[in-house]
Amino acid sequence: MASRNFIRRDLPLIMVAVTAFPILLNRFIDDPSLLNYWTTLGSWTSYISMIAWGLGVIYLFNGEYHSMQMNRNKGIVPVLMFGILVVFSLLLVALSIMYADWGKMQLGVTHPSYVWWYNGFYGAQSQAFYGLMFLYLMSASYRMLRFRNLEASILLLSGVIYTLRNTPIFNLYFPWMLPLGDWINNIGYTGGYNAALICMAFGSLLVGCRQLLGRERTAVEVTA
Amino acid sequence: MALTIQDTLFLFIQMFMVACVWSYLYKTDNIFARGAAQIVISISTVHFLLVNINRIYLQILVPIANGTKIINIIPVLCGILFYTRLWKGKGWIASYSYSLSLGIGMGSLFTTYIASNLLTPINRAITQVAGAKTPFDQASALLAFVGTLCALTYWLFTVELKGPLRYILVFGRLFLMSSIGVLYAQDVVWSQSLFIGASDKFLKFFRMVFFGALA
Amino acid sequence: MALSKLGKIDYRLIYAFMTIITFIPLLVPIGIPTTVGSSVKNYVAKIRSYPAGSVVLTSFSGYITMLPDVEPIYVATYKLLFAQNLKILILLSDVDAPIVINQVLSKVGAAGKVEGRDYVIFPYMAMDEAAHVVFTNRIRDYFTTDRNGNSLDDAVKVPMMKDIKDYHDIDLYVSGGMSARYWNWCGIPLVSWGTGTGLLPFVGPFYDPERGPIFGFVGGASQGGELEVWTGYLGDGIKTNDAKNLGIITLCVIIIVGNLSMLGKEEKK
Repeated sequence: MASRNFIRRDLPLIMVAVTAFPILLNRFIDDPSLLNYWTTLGSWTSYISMIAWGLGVIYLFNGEYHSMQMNRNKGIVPVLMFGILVVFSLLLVALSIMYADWGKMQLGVTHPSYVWWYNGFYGAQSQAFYGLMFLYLMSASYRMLRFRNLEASILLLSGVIYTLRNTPIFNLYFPWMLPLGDWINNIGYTGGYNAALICMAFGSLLVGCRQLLGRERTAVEVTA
Repeated sequence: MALTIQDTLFLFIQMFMVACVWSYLYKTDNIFARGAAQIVISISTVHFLLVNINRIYLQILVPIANGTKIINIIPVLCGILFYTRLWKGKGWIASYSYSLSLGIGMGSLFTTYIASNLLTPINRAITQVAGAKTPFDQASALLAFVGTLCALTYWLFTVELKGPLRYILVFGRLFLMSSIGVLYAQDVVWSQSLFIGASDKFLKFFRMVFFGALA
Repeated sequence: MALSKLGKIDYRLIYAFMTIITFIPLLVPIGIPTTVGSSVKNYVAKIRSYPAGSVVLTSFSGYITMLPDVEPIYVATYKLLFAQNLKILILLSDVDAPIVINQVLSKVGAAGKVEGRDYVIFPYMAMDEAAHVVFTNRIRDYFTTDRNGNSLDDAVKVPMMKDIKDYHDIDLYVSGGMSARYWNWCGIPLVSWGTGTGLLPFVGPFYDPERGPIFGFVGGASQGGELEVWTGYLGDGIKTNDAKNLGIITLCVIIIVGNLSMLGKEEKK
């Protein structure tokens, strides 16, 4: 039991510290072997994440399939939604294979035909999704940006002035808007944001130290 | 400018997809908006996968095969270990991959984070005051410095201050409100650009049909 | 009473009104002149201060969704860099970037510029903090080839990379929002570009036009329009300015209406 706990819980925690310490040492000791260690391992996080991406795809299809099963009694729509997911996924895979460069063993993800489908069905649509936020913000501005008290008034004024600073017509007719907007960004915004940044740094360093000392288990514990 | 059938179809698809997304504004749970969301999810996920397959081959597998970076086998194995999460009771094996990634990230983070997120803001808050040339710049820099200190006090010391000391928290809160206001404005301006971009794609098709112009 | 009713406008009416307001100038352009802010002027001045042959690294996010907000900046900046005859390294940092970089470079129209000799595009990689640190220290430990699969040590196909080994060989970094943080410790001068939300929130504490580390920045389509005007490379950035103007005027009206409705409520009390 003890060895089982050691392998499953303690060893991964030790591994975090063992991996991180030589990289930390590199900051203080100018040694080529430490730099070698860092530059070798530094690429690995990218490699690991690229290989693990497939897990996300499996989870996506698994989740959508179960959602379809659970909503069987809601007619054809859940099946249709799962169908759309499968069809468009297969379409992209088929296009990338069809236009692959087999000489270089590369899928055709930058081929003009692939890009045509990608831009047509994804580019404009994803912009439209994010663009919806503008309308929501309009609605929120109508209800939220009000002179209720000093704090709300500061929020309103800094928000509106910075928005107007980024709007050409106001800069044209009110030339002082541009430097005023920049001043709010450089002084008002930065004053508060500096504090947030420093606090975030303190927090991250604290969590980092706890992880290196094996006191923070949540990030490495996998229960599944 | 003469348009081919392919161009026309492309513009129609873009217009139709934008309309599907916008239908969400009228009624949240409608088949067009849900279908559009499914398409976005599938394309973005699978495209990422396909691009990664290309990179995995060139960046990792080829150097292993030609013997220049055999050590790459370790991250490959770690990446594969993530898939043990799919088997119940075996998921703990993936914690080794997490540990390795976390350790590397943590070591790098300490290096860049201390320099950037801790020392730079402190350094800048101080040097800005010292380096200001005009009285107005000096006053502004001093204001930002005091604002940073007050906002820091607001974040770090959560005890209730009474008497004149409470104005430190009030002043800090005002600076934070100013920051949130600017963040809000940045979001408005940014999302407006995307909304205009989507609107332009929506209208492009109609401009083409009714006016025969793409400009 | 009438004022308090102003606070009960259906949100769908606001959506519809704003959509129509955005459509009008896209269909019938008005054409309002643009003024240029100091951060944009500093951005251009910093780039122009480098002599021909200097090495500039650009972090190209190229996220297709964000293009309306950032494409004008990309196009104008690359036109400026090519006109200065600088040697350009392009780091593709988003999965869409391999597609989008081709679209952007076709708009830039870099006539006479040859890939490998005047600019090098690295292949896309999912780069996190650790990866950036590796790249800064030893470029060849991270990338062995350019995007076309040519070895970085191939003196015929990629001659530009001959003397570029690590961050010491890079004179200027055009960074994105977060990546400025990864590079700050190297001491390389930075200028920053990016989307409104991807750049502007992060740039503040690092921006100082005289001492750096960030000497100038351009964030979002509005500032992209300013960049186009300041450099003279006019493009999509200023085309959408009319829609922006009308949209923001409407926003001001909406905020005023909201505040008037609050007055109505107080009267009611």
